[in-house]
Amino acid sequence: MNRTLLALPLLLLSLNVHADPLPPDTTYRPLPTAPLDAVIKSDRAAKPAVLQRQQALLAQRYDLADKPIPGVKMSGGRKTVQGGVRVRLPQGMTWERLASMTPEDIRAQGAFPAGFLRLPHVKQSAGGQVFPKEQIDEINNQEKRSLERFDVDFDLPEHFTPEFPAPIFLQSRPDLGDVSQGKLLTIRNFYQIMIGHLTPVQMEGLRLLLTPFPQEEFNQTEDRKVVEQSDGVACLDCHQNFHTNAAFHLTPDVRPQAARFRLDTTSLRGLFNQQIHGSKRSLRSVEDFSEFEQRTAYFNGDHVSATRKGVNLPDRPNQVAMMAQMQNMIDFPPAPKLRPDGTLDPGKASEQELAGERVFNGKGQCAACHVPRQDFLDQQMHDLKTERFFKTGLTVSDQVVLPDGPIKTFTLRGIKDSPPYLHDGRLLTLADTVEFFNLVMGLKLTSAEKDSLVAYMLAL
Amino acid sequence: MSKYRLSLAVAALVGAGISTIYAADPKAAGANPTFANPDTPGLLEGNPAPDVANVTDVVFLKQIAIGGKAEVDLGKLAVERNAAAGVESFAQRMIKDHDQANAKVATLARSARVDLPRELDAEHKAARDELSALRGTEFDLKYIDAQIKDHQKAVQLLVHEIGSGQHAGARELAANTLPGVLEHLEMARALHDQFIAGAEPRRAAAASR
Repeated sequence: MNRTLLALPLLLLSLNVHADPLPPDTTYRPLPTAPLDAVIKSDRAAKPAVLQRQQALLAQRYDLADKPIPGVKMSGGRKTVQGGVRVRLPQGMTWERLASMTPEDIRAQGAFPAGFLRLPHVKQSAGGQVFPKEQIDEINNQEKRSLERFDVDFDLPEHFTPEFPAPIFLQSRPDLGDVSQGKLLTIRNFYQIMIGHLTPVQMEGLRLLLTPFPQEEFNQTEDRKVVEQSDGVACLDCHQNFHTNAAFHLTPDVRPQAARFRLDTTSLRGLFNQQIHGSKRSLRSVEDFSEFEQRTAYFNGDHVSATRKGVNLPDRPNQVAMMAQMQNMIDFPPAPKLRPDGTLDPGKASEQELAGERVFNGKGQCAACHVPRQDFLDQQMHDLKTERFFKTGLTVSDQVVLPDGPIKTFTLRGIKDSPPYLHDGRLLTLADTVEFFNLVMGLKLTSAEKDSLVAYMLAL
Repeated sequence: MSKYRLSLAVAALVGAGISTIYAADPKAAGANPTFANPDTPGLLEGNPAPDVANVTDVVFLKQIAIGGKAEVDLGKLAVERNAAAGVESFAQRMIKDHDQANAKVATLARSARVDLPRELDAEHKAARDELSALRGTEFDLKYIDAQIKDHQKAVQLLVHEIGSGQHAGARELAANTLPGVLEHLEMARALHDQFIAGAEPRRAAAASR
């Protein structure tokens, strides 16, 4: 009784007066304080060290050599597929020995391979969209629009990115095959390439998806990372030809800056069967996603910054619906060995591929989330709890190693076309993904089982 | 594990093969000059002078100093109150770890010419007063809940400094301190979970004696 009487005024005080909030910049983007010319000069001077640090990190984590799988190409036939496990092990460790250790031991001994940790942005403190050279060159060539940043360059070697330009398959016209003509779709050429293949509504959706709009690093204010005032970026600048060019970004869904994880651009193939969107946000329709990306992919989930730089807000009943319908027309690449129910045709598949399918559905537990009958999706987010294997809170290249929490299941259809793997692109090959899941799920697969899984995924 | 032992442990891990985690000098090329003070010496060469503090550094050092002082004060209060075994050992750990960390913050603040607050702020004073009025299990639970809140804030403050600070020493301090603070938070959350699971640490500890 006495205590209650004493505590009451204190409680009131603590509610009304004693606010001790975190600084505003932990959530909101601060306004720039330096003039743009000073920023350009400074960022350019810092750039070699920034790039060198990232290359050193990549070289320490991965074997980056160009070692394609003989005879295997991506769906357009324009690029080879890289093979082998590329994540490096701590000295003296083997994959078999690692897989036999408990998560607690791996954590205590610091034995979790660094390549299985979050992959930092090339410049985590600045973040933002970074495009590969092929995309920058082709957009510059066709549109005279610059996607080149003055502070950073794309960091992965070209042989670990998807083929460019990617083939385009329409689910509305499965008879046609790749309709890209081997070109990158842009606002300059889309009409002549797609006329006749699309409806008027889809054509308008495509026009909008190819129209550049202001973005955090590419805009007309002094808070940008491109030299000249920029018209911005288009949706398909990252999702090139409705696939991906491995352009990356930081997730809009996490703060503060050093806690944000890298995002590898997702392919839009098979979007018609995808019920949740965004690795973290679980948006329930492609309409929601297309509409709100103008504030998330474009402006880091900061609607305040978006308003300042000139946000484009497509109107829901017309423009959003057309953009969504266009994206829903995009099919996966053909998989001739798959039957309509998502199983391999024993008459067409090899023994190794069939063995891989058995592991996928059985000991490997892959099919629990990547359901073959549902385009290898389960429309769920899952938490792999990788933090069981490492000590949290270490800082690597200005990014803090924290748990990722639940992440959306991604499809495996056409997966050989979509390196690098996982939401942040931390894994370079399919063999890396097999070792990753073998460890975090405690599967104890044999070497033959691992090889068969890779062979199976190449057939999907 | 104290901060000192923690950094030793990290150093040992580096020696044991975890070095692949650190690709290069963690201080190199880290700051984001867009948001640095325009008159930062050396800024135009792309190498901000390492001992100049920006606004984030100043706010960080002040906040972390207050938080650290509160940890020690409240820890001592918990020991005085004869808290449950698990809570008391947690409090002892807070006193020890934060005493050491506070000294480092003070040294750093002098080099960065940041004037640190000498007293607790109003919020921490109020929390201390509120806790002072409590006894027994009520105290234990309130203390642990206050610790969870303070450590959540500390984690966010450290992560913010790592991403947006300019002063090399302050950023390094933040990076070196974060794993330990996350461990404190994990400990406090585990104690809280013990309370709500019904197994009061006080009673459980007494039974085991």
